[in-house]
Amino acid sequence: MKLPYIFLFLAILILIIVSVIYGQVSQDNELSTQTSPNSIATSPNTGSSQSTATENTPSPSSPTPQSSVSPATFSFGSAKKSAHYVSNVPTHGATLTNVPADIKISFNFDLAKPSAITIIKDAVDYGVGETTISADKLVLSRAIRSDAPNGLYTVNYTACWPDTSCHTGNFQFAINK
Amino acid sequence: MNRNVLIGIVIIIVVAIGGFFATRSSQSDNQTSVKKAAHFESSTPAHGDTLAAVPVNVVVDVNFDLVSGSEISILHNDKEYGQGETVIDPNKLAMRRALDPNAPDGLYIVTYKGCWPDQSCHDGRFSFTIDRTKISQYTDMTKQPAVTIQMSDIKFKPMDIRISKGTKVTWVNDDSVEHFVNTDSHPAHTYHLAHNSRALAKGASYETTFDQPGIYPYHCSAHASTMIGRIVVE
Repeated sequence: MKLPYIFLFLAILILIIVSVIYGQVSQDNELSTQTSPNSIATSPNTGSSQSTATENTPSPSSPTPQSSVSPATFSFGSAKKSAHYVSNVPTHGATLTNVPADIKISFNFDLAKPSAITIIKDAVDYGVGETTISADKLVLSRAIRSDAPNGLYTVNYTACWPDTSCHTGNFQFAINK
Repeated sequence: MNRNVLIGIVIIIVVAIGGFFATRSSQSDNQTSVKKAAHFESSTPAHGDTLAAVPVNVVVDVNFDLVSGSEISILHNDKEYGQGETVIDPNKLAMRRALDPNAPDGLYIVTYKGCWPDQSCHDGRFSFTIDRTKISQYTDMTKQPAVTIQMSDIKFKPMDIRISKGTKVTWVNDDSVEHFVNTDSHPAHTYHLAHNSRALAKGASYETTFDQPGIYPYHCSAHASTMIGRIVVE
């Protein structure tokens, strides 16, 4: 190959690289300007600039089973709340000295079937009978086996709405008789 | 300068310009893409919505307790159109920020940061468009102190209306099945909290008055995917 052609090929290659890099820098500057008014970190190409926080935040979608934990040292995860959630009894993080009669979860909008509650310890559901919806459609409840042993319980619930769409939530309590 | 050098220069210029604009196109795609933060459930406006008027606020719904430090930014052409502070709802499951009522037509990029009880934060992004030309498709019911919307055949009739500020709107269920009147999104119902009914049996009604100009998207929670309506308050 003649020398001018080699020179031409190299020049094209260098300019392509420079133009792509310049475009990328321009993009970064533009997005940096966009996010500055409220200091909201945004980095579309690399994900969140605060992505390390993901590792620090407990995932509420799947509280970790704690069957091996001593009954006196329960470690509660984070509760996940569905839309229209108001409260629950027992409360998240409560340690009870007796087995509760049932679980009650209150909402501020009309519940519908197939809303459901499970009360899990060591992969066993200690709920008894069906989940019921109160007459005013605002409370889900389910009874618990009276022989439920000491330990950490994860309550998973599915709240369903009039169009049969559903959303999930969860919380935890412990029994230490 | 010989012919080969001239051809080379032309090729270099064409390739350089092409590479630059190809990258710029990629940037544009990134700006309008959606990114959901951890615990994100929904937003109003939803990503990709085109609205016939300015939303009264932007709301982000989550499934975990928000804490202070959470914030929303609403940008159009690099200018902030969010007004006032970001506010966390009392139940801690939604945050909202008002919009400048004079926000112009165009694409808006919403970036938000949700902060949690352990002080960690996550950010997300979505976009929506304001296009006032869409108002021509709305039924003009302005300059009336009160208007009625029928719930009939699993529809709001009329579906999209314009009213004047201070108008009382009444919904009446003419169907044999239960209906609801709930502000978007579904099922969070957080955009305009005063715009929420419980179940309405046949013949039952629900009413509320709109005092703030802007657009109010809503739906029936029993038929959320199809029975929708919008009110523009002027």
